[in-house]
Amino acid sequence: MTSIISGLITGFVGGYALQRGGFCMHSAFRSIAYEKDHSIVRAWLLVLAINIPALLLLEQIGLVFPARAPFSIVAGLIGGLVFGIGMVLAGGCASGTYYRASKGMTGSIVALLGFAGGGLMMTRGVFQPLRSWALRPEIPIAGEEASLYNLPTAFAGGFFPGFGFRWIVAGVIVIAIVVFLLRAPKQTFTIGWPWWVTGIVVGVVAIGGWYFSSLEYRDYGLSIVQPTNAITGWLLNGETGAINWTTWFLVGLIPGAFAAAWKGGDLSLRVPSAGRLLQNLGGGIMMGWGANLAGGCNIGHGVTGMSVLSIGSIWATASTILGVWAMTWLVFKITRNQAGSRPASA
Amino acid sequence: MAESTFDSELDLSGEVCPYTLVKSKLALEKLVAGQILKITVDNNESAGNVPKGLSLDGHEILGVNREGKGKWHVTVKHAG
Repeated sequence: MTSIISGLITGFVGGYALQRGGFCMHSAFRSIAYEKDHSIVRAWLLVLAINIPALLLLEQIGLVFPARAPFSIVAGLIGGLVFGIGMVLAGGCASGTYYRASKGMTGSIVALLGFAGGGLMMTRGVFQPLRSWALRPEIPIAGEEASLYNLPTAFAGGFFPGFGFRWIVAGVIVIAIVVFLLRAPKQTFTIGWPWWVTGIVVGVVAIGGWYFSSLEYRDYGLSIVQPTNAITGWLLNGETGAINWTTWFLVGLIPGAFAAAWKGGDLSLRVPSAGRLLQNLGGGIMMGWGANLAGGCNIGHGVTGMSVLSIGSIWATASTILGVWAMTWLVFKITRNQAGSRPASA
Repeated sequence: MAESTFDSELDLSGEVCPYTLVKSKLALEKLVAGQILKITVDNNESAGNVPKGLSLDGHEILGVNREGKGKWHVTVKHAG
C-alpha cells in the first residue's frame, strides 16, 4: 500500500513537472547539435548534478544499493540508435510522449500504443532471440557492473576504488556541470517553469524513485520502459508479477501531466494529419523496439543509469543522441526538399 | 503590436518539434529583411520553442499571443 501511494504521489509530481517544464529529452538531445537554446539540456544536467552525489550518499549510508545497467555494446548501440530515430518520428522521448499524450496530443497517444507494441515485439515476440543475442556479452569490470567509478580497475587490476575515490569522480563531474549551468544565458520566451525549477523538481523525484524502489528491494530508480511493459502484460495477459513502484509512478504521472496542462491552459485534443499520425505510430514502435533492446530509455538510462555513472547507460544514451541527430538531419533535409519543390504559399 | 499586418502566414497546427522550428525557419528563408511572418502553433511548448529558436537566429519576435485554448500566434520580423 505504501508503494502504491508513494508511487502515485511521486508520479503525479513528476508528471506535473515534466509538463510544466516541457522536459522533453528528445528536444534536449536535438538542441545540442541543431539549436542555440539549451534550456532543456540544462534541466537534464541539473537532474544529474543533484542525483550523482545524492545516490553516492544514499549508497554510502546503506539506504540504497544501486544496480547498474549491464554494458552490452551491440544492444546499447543498436537499441539506442533505433530508439533515438524513433523519438524524432514520434515527436518526443518516452516520458515526453506520456506527458504529451496526457494533454490531448493524439500523435503522442498513437506513439504510446506503438511504444507498447514495439516493446512486446522485442521482449516477447519475434525479436526476442535478437535481444538475447545482443545483450551478450555483458562487459563487467572486475566482476562488477561497469561504471565510471570502477573504471580504473579495468586498467589497474589491484585497484578497487573506495568511497573516497568515488566522491572525487562525482565531484569533478558535478563541478563541471555546475560551472556550465552558471554560465547559462537568461531564458527567454518561457511558458511554464524555467529550466532550473524543472531540474530541481525532476531531480528530487528521481531520488524518490531510487528510495521508494529500494523499500521493495528493487535496486534501480525511475524507469518508463519497465512499467510500460508491466502495464501491457497486465492488460493483455492479466499478469501482475512485474507491477512494482515504477508502475504506480507511471500511473500517477498521467493525471499529474493532465493537471499541469489544465493549469497551463494547454489541455485540448489536437489531431495531426493522417500521415503524421502514421509516422508517430511508426516512431513509437521503433522507440519501444529500441529501448527494450537497449534495456532502457531516456529515463532508465539517461537519468537513472547516468546518475550512478553506469557505462552501459552512458553508452546507450550516447547512441540515442546519435540516432536523434541522424534522424533530425534527415528531417531537415526532407522538409527542405519538400518546401523547395512546392511554390511559396505566402 | 498590430498583428493583422503580416507578409506571410504559416499554420503549424498538428505539428510538434522538430517540424515546427524547421518549417518556421524555411518559411522565413523565403522572406526578405523587414518582412513579417505570422505562425500559428497549437501547443505551449512550440509557442515557447519557436520564438526562442528564431530569436536566437537573430530574427525579431514581435509578439507571442495566446488566441485561445491550443492556439498561439507568433509574429516574427525577418532580420535579414
